[in-house]
Amino acid sequence: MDNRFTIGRHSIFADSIAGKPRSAAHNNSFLALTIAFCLVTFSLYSHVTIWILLIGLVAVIMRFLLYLGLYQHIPGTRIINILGIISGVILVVMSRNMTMLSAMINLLIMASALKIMVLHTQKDLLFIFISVLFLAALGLIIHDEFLFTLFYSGLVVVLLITLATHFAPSRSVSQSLTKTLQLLAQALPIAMIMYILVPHFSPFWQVPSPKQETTGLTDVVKPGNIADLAQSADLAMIVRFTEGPIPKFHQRYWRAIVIDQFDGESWSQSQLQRAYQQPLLAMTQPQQHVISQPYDNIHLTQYKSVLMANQTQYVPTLDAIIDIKGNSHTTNPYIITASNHAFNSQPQVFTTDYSAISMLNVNNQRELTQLETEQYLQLPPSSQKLDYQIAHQNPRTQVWVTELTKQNTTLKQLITAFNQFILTEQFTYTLQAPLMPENMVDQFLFTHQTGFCSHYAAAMGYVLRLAGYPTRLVAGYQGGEQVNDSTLLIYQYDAHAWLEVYSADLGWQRLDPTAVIAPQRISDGLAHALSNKDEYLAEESLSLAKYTHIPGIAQLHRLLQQGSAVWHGSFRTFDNEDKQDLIKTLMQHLNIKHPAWIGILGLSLIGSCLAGYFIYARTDIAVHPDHVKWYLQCRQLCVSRYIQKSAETDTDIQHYPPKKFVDWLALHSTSSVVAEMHQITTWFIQHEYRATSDNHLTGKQIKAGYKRLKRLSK
Amino acid sequence: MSFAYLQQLLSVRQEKWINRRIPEAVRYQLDNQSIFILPTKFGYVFLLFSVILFVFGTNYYSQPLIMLSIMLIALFVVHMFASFLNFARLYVSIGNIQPVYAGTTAAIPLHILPSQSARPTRGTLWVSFWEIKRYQSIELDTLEGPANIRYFAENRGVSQLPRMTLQCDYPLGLFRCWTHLQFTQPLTVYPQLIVANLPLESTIKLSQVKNSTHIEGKTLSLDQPDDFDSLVTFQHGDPMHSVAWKYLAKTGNMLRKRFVGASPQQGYLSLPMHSNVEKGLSQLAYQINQCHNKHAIYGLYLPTQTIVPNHSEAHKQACLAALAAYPITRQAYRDGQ
Repeated sequence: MDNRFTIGRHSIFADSIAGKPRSAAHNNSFLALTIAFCLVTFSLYSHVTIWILLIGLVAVIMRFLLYLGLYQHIPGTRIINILGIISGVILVVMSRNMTMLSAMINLLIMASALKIMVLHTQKDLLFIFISVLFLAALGLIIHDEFLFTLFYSGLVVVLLITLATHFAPSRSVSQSLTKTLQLLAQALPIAMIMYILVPHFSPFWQVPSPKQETTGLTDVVKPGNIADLAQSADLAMIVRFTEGPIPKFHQRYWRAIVIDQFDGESWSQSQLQRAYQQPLLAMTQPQQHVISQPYDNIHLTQYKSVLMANQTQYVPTLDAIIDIKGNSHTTNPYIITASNHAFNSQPQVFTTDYSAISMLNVNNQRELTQLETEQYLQLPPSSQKLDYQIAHQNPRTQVWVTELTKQNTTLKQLITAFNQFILTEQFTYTLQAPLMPENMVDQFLFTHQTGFCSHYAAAMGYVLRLAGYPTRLVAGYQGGEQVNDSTLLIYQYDAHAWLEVYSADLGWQRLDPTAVIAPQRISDGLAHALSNKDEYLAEESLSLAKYTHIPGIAQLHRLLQQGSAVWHGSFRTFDNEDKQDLIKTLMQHLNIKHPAWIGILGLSLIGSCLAGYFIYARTDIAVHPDHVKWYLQCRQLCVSRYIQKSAETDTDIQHYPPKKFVDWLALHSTSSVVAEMHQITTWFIQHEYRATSDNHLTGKQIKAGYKRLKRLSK
Repeated sequence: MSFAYLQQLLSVRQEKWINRRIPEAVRYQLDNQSIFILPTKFGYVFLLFSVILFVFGTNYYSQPLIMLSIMLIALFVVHMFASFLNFARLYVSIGNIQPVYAGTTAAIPLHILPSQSARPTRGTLWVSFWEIKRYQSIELDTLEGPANIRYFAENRGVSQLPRMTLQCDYPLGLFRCWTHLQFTQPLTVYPQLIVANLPLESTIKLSQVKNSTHIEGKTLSLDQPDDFDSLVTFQHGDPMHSVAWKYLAKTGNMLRKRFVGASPQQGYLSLPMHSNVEKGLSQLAYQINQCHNKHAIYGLYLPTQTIVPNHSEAHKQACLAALAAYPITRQAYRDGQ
């Protein structure tokens, strides 16, 4: 091995391009990759165990030190192997409690961290690139909000910069960034055309949702658990209204779960209700409805929803649901139950979309069966056998209801009396009600007189049942943020509980005590209803919605909302039908009969884009100023016509400065030629050093000299 | 029909094809004919990965991921054009190659000439030779003047370089452009030096006998000038035959006889008479260097040419070049050179 051909530790030669060792100090591409790794790990930190995070941290610190040149040694293979085995063991042990997706994320981060420690060659770099890109893709699946999409786009740009700085190491980072952005800008129109042309496929296989926790509603209404949901700013559902007006805020009741069993403390689902959720007992015929609000018109409204995975089979739909179907062309997974709510025959472990038709301002009027009447009048058992039942008898409520019914004989009177009661007693609406472990209804109605929607609904439900009216609770969402003319965003903090009471003439009538005590909740949303603003999104300190009283934040929040609106409204829900509509419109405009022509049109558009770039790039010919151009022509002429054989090659001669060229010419050419060239060279040099020179004038002079030179050969 | 024979056939066809496609030249402005472009291994992985992301996006109902995957595929397509356009700006030539001795490395000056377009070729250029898997990199952005490409010169002779392979992965490494250029500039490789002590002949008379020369005349030894001058202390490295043995036997001190030459040595060097011509040429080369260092006036007598005695750097180069140009013997060919 010839020692002359090594620089530092690295040989000038490489046996393969991919395997050549690279220096780590001031290596911008290694640094950029490490930054990308940091960003992606940070965004997924909730899914990563602390041990893997530590390894990642060590790797990042090591790489920074290597970059700055403060540290020179990469850990040896043995250490890395030991680390790998230890972390592998940790991962296997912890993966018992993880979903498959979390395990995959942890594994990828661990592998990337270890690889970053030994990052040395191009092969290593490209491997880590793919890993981090994959992690970013997983992040995009898990966090599908607008801000996160922007974040991950930025991350992908950082990754591309890693490649750009690696394959052109002598260029500065800003130059590489410019080149990357230029390439992306060129790729954008092509991507848009491809996006329109590529059809929307249905999922190729069923996969579990990336979300770990059960989000959304559960079928037990315990005062408190809806309050938990109100702390979360996660998106629950996106709704786009395709026909009919968008309902007003107070009309947006999204029925999801019917709950009809009360044990004195909390409401849950009865056997009957569970039975109703079986496909066999689904309602296949349209049900009878009666007008509920004589002052509002009945609206039939059609909409499409994207429902985030909630691990349950409950489907929030607008009251009252008429029809619902899924998007795929196979069997409809949705049913409408006998309790008039939609239900999915499969658990919703991934984001689903459906389209539905609902009718506003009506009540369901189907007659109750015997079983239903019994169930909806069910009261907690009054036996004294078990201790806990004593604690949930709510005796005071029972006494009070007996008195109430003496004076208020009709349902309407009773409802009015209840509302009066809560208003006069000045009940309050709060997320942080005190715990009411025993005799919840008693404590709520007579002791604390403060609570959340679930308290109110649970109490009123019990009261109405005690009075002998069939009642059931409904849980779901109320409200939703309108982001443009046709799109609503429904968040977890819009979760709500209300109740329905049955009467022969009005059918199932919706009652919402929250509307009485905190009407802003029903007309404007949770943020406006809470008297103590600090409760709102108390856990979510990162949510911008909390800080809208600061002036700059309000504008920023609105801007983000608008971006989010465009995002959700246009791209997020842009599905196959929209694409087909778009294509149909295009076909109409362009008078094209066969849809295949659109495909060909699209491809030719892409082709012409690329051809455009190609031709544009080829036309950037360097233009010399006149005098330089003619001077070069003169030299060219001398070399090609007048030279006797010389030892120097053309390339060496090309590099001669003007004076040297003339000197060399004197050795190899006739005197007249040399004299002429000397004159031309003098003009040229004078031109360059004069204070004011006119390129054009000198150009003309030299051009005349060129002509003379040419004549000399004749 | 052995496998080796087939391989040989294929490589011959390959060479013919490439000779037709990229003929030899002094300088090259790269264009469609001379550029080959294909995705790199990483490029294929990248494309496959984009498709996988598309599948993931469809499955998890993630529109952003679908858009990302389509964007990556579009980027892949655009990269192909960017790669080609960048590489097609390359305008290269090589300058004069300094001759070297066989068994050493020649430095080939590769000139990246100013191209027609306003922008230069960017990125890292990887240089290697036809079917030799050793790569050298050139940073095109910081290159000033010619780049020195190292080529290991194995055999004596005056020949063209093998095809030079230039490769570039700019900008994002998804596609690789490469070309194989056959430069016509010759490389002169002097014979490998083998230590020898060949005599300078004062005159030469050619005999009519085929394939032999009779040398007549006084034989002068190069290392022994005429007159004995003095005894000096023996230095390590002095020739052993100059030791004064009698004196050593007498006194035990190693002293060396020093001669002073009255006039510089003059004469002809010729091929030694043994069967291995290559060895002879190598010895001659060594001897020429020795003569030059000792300021002798030497000439070269070869069957193919004669060079009159002279002394200068250019004369030495001419003599060595004559050795390099000496036809390759059948023996050398058999020896696998």
